[in-house]
Amino acid sequence: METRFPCGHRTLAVLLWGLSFCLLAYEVVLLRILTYLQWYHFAYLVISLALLGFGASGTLLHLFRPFWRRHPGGALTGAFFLTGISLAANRPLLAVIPMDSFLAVLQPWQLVWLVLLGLVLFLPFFFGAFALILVFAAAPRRIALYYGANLLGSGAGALGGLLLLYRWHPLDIPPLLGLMTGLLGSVLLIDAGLRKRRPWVAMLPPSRLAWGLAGLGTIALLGWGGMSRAQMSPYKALSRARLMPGIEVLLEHSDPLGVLTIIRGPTLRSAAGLSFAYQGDIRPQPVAYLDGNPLGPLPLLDDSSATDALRHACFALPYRIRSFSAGRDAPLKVLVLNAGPGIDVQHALVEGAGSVTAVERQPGLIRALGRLADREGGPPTIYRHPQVQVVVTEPRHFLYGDTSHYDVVVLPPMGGIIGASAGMEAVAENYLLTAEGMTAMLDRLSPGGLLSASVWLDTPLRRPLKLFGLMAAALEIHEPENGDSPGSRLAAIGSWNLMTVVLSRRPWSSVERERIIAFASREGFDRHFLPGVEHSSGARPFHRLADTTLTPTLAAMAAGWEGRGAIRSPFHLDPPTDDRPFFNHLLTLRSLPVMRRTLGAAGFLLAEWGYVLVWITLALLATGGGLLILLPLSLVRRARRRDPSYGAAVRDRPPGLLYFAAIGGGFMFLEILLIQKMVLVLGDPLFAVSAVIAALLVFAGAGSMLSGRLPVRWLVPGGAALIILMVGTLMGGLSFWATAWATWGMAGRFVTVIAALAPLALVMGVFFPAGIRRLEVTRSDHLIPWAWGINGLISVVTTPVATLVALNLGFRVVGLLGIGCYLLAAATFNREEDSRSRAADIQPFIEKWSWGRLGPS
Amino acid sequence: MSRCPRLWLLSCLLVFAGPGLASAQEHDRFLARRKAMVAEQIASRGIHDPRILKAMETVPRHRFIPPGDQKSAYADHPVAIGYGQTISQPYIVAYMCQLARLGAQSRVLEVGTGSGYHAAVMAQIADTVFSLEIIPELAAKSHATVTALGYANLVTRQADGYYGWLEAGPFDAIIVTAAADHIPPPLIKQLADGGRMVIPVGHPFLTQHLVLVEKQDGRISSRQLIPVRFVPLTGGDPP
Repeated sequence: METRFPCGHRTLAVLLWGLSFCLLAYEVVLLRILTYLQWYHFAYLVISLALLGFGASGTLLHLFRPFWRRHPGGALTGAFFLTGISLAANRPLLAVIPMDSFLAVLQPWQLVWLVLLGLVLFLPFFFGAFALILVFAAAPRRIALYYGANLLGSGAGALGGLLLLYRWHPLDIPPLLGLMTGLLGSVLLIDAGLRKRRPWVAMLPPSRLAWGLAGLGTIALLGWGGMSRAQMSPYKALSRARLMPGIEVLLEHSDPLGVLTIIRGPTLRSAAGLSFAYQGDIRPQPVAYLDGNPLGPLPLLDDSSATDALRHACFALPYRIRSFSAGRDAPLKVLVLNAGPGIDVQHALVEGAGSVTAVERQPGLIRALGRLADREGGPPTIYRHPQVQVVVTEPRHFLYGDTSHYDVVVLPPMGGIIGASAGMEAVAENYLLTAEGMTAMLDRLSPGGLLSASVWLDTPLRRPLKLFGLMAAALEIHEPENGDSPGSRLAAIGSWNLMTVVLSRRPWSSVERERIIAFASREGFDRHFLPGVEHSSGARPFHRLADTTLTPTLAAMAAGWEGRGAIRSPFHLDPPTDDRPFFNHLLTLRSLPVMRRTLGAAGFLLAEWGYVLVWITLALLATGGGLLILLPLSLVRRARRRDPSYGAAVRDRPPGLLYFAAIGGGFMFLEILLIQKMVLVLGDPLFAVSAVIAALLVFAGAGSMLSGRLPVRWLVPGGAALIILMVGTLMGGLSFWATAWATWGMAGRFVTVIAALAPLALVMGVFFPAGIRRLEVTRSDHLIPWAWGINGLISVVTTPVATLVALNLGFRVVGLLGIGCYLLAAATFNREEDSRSRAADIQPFIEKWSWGRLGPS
Repeated sequence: MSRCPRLWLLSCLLVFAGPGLASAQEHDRFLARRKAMVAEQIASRGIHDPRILKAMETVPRHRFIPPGDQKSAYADHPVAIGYGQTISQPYIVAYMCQLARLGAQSRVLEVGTGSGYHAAVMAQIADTVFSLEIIPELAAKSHATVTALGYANLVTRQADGYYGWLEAGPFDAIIVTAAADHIPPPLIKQLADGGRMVIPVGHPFLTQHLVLVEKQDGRISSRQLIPVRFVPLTGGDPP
């Protein structure tokens, strides 16, 4: 018998749409919140937490079935309000939980805070999913309507989250979503009266009115009760800078790509790579930060001393090597990638560039600089200089679509003055610093062009070695027929804390070598590598490094593939590729003792903290999944085994559960693969997550519904074959797609990505209902909670596993694992009993057991 | 009854002498911990300059630490002092003093007074220590602490350390306690010929390495040093 809720089914569908919208928007916003408060790698934790909340709510529903059967309306309204309250509670709770991922290595009790933080973030998903599956389980006849509303709302929420980020600060959005959810819950109360056609006073009996007001009041109090919002980690650069006296916030701007803050103050000075020989003054400059991490100083256009200092930095090397203006008809053309606030753009102009193309992926930054320049007394922006053309796009996309050639291509310094901050990026993909990205840059160089990249010196030395090796490898890949070793076209010099590597399209001439030597000697920079010239660091260096392996390692890397093969570094120095685009991932098992010996236990953890956190996440999720999903279900099963009324089937070994584990793992492996690869197409992780989740939710849901019209016999094997075909097509043609779509705007690329993923998502959606049908025809429907639990747990654990596989083996292996999982599912799928049946037959079972999923896996 | 006056007298002694006795006990307890700190964290890691060891043994580190964290005063790690700043790990303080080659005639500039502890240790060794702190609250607090401890040869000022202390220079040693992306040219100018500047690079809680800047016959050079406890990674020259 279908349970009745206190409102009409269409109203209920609209409410579920709204609830699903809020949950997915919350997930998207949460990504941004954690990136702002902490660091980006928390994204992995968030996706997993969401799934954990959905799986655990299914368990709760299963355990307390008698209760909600008696009070479905109250349980549903309560779930709506608890979702709203837990969303609104995000704001004060995030502010009071002193969790700091940076301190976790020094203070073990931080892990307790991490678990508590996880619980706070988990609750909205938990209560929201409880409301959804309560409706699914209690009103099976309307499942198509409710399930469709759920999936459409989820897909809309993935996009709506982005739109909300354009308008509000991320920390202010959860209370808004909480209020929206609370209002939806209130509609449940009010609509009950409307349905009965009573006077409006009777629509809200005092008890309901009191509950509604209490719920909304709690949400309002938590969200806007004057409690301060969470502050970003005090160990982020912006937090530390704001402690200085006289700091003034010039601008704060929030959009989906991050929270941009521009400050100025009497103590903010920057002169990376500056020579000790420079005697001038360095004036304070405004500094831009994104999510609390420095983007760089704003150029001082009215200050000659600032421009003079740039000429005495080690990254001025490319402009000292060749006298570009001499005998040239065309003006010097410079391309600056990841231009940020524009210091390297200003530098190019100072060096006499006739035109500078600046590529910056943050449209908010360019707009913010323009707004500041328009203010009275505001700092002028370099991007309005008549010789500067600014292109707002992801640099890799620019390289795909651009056909111009440049005399100098500049990459700003990478890493960080504080080494540990770069360690936070250990699991962040960077498609510019890959062999493919570097060769794309070489394509844009004029015949005599130079590519310049700088990197902070770290301890032990790792990133400078990796950068140099990458540039050497790119030369060999780009011009395999060239007989010269890459070293004939590379040079590296360094200050006390920065190294600049310059790559030339043609071998250095003797004049150029002399110029490099003269510049380094004059400014007090060491020549770490220059072919045919004795390295200054071997004789009387200006800057003696603790790690003396720099010079010999660079020489070995410059010798080509064979030389690089002979390097015995404990770090992961292989050139990153698009398949493993992790420039900052350097830790290997062999490097652990070296790092520990050099930096101490805590130090080495922080140096690659992002990587370590993925392992911690995996451990926490496996434990949490076991406790919240498997253990309760196991206890229920044990109790039922003692109950003779359940018969012999319960005592059998669970059949077919491998199938549900396989499709859980396969779905997540492919989801992570698609998210990461769509970063390459869309140019930003947040947009990639939103597009992939929206596509998978909507179209996998549609596939699940369509499966009812298709013959079950061929659904699973046919689906597996189609998945292989489509994943192969998408991944094999990724470079082609990325190039073809490179010149499109973000909206066009976003929609195209969703359309491209739709067929794959449709097919992925058929596996879960097909599996449920299998359990039904084998009379194993008592195992459905088990199937659900295992499917959910494997989905949760697969997220960090996929990240670790990608880091160590590459995304190709992640894709193969995803395909392998679906093949395993096909192999374990028993088709004999249902060869004549159609999936429509299983609809009641789907209705009965489709719990807690935004999208079936 | 005859015992009553004695009991009364004993009670009076306890009441009036009690705090003094407790203070002496506390003093002895911190002294013992300080000696243990020097023996276990500093001398055992290769710092044998008796002046540095004596200074580290003398300066009451716990007086520079917020009252709630005094239990950690002599532990082998940095301690937060508020305003995003830390009091450095004892070994790092001693190691920086050793790198700076402080002598009885040295004039020392410290950029970033913080708690004032490092300056106090250097004041035990050097002729005069000039210390600058930019955060007003920290500057006031550290000034009060070093004044209370009676360091006559330690001068503090609240100012931006970027410009150094022109009228007090040149300096035989400059200690910069917060890393920037460049070394301020005014500090290089105020470093005496033959002088040494020490800069920690890395996170304040986990200094990854120190940079020693030397000025010799007008030539400025630097050396990167890893303050390792055990064996250096690649056998870099000892300081």
